[in-house]
Amino acid sequence: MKAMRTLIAVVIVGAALSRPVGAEQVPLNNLRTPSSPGFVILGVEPSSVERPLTPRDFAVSLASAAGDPNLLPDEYAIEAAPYWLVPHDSLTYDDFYANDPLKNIYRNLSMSIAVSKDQSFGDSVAADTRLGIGIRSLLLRGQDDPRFRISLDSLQNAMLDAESTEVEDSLNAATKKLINEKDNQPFGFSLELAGAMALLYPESDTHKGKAYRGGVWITPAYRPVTEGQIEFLSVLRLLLEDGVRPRYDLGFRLLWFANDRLSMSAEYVSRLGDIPDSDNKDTYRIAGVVDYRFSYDLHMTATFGRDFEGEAGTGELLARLGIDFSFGDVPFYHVE
Amino acid sequence: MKRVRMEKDYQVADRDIALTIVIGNAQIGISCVKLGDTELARGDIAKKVIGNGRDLAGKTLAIKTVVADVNDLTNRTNVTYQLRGGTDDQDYGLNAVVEENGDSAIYYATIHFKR
Repeated sequence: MKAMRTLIAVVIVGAALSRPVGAEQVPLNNLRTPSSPGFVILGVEPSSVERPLTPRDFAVSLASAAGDPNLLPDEYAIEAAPYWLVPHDSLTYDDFYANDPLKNIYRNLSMSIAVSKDQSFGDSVAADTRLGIGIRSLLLRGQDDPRFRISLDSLQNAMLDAESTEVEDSLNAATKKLINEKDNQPFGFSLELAGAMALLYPESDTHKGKAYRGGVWITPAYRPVTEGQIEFLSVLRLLLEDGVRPRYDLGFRLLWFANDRLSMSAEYVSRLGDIPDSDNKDTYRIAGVVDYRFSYDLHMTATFGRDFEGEAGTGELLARLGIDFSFGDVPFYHVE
Repeated sequence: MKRVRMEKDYQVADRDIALTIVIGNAQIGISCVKLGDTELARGDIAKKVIGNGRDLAGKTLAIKTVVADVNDLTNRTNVTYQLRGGTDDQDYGLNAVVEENGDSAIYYATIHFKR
């Protein structure tokens, strides 16, 4: 059963206010590599995403979306991991996570494609259509937190001993929660890579397509295993946009998990290049973030600092308070 | 939660019978192996000698395997039970697609040893 997710947010305390995500803006404030760069490069959050499990599903999805080769669909989004479209019955967990960089690249490769149609202005002119294509992979994954394996082993042993389906189902829910926990990240070095390109089709004419935006993300991270866990994350981003100078982001974040509920982080991102709606071409963001988890389904995030110019409306002060709720088995994590 | 069941006969010979359980698709699983009411092994099972074919004939091996979907790139899970030492080597493959990342699948295998 799909989890029902509800996000109740966000109280704006200061003068800063992000512009809504639209087709003309790329939300690049998160230091993490986007999970779906093909969507991010368009600045869209599709409400429905197809996730084919087999090559046949993949082909059928693309064919049905394409329909007439001279027409582009109004809205379409698909995510797929090509390597995993077929089963790998002899690939064990230890083999997969042996951290061979070359194997990691193709085994962890995922692609995302989104199509979005701009608002139409009258019946005489067809609306423009935008296409985003992105790929993402892991070069280095890091290592499992041994505490995760111990906890999982304990739950699986209990499931082996369970003598009723009710107990098994209850243990399944606990296992699922453990696996999907936000803090259950590998330790050691990890390196994520992603790239994306956006194309514009004026009046939705497939013969007039042109690339107008491109992006590259390189995200190295280090997370040691210590009692008071610390994570160091950095990111290098490059955004290429038609008609403006390339835009570079170089950022760092230090995250400290004070305990199971409380985490604090400090981040700095330097942005070089053309900033839309701003006279100042180079800018930076510096912020402190406090996150407190009341329960598995509820946490609060407070962010204070200085935001990028051109993305903070009339001011630079960054002060936000957000509360995330999620109802269902899988938590929904909202960042800003 | 997905549950998969299998029941097979396995022809023994006058040699040791060994069992290996492979969890594929980069998922994590453990198994409990029982001969009759006696637990023979638990955890990762690799080339586990069950006994000599002469002694096993007429007995039943019951295996329960729990596989958790820890691989966020696929919801496929599968288990391969490899039996060696009988008249023929046998690989029994079972699979299940769980609904969401983090879900588990439980596999039950019953193997009757026959002469």
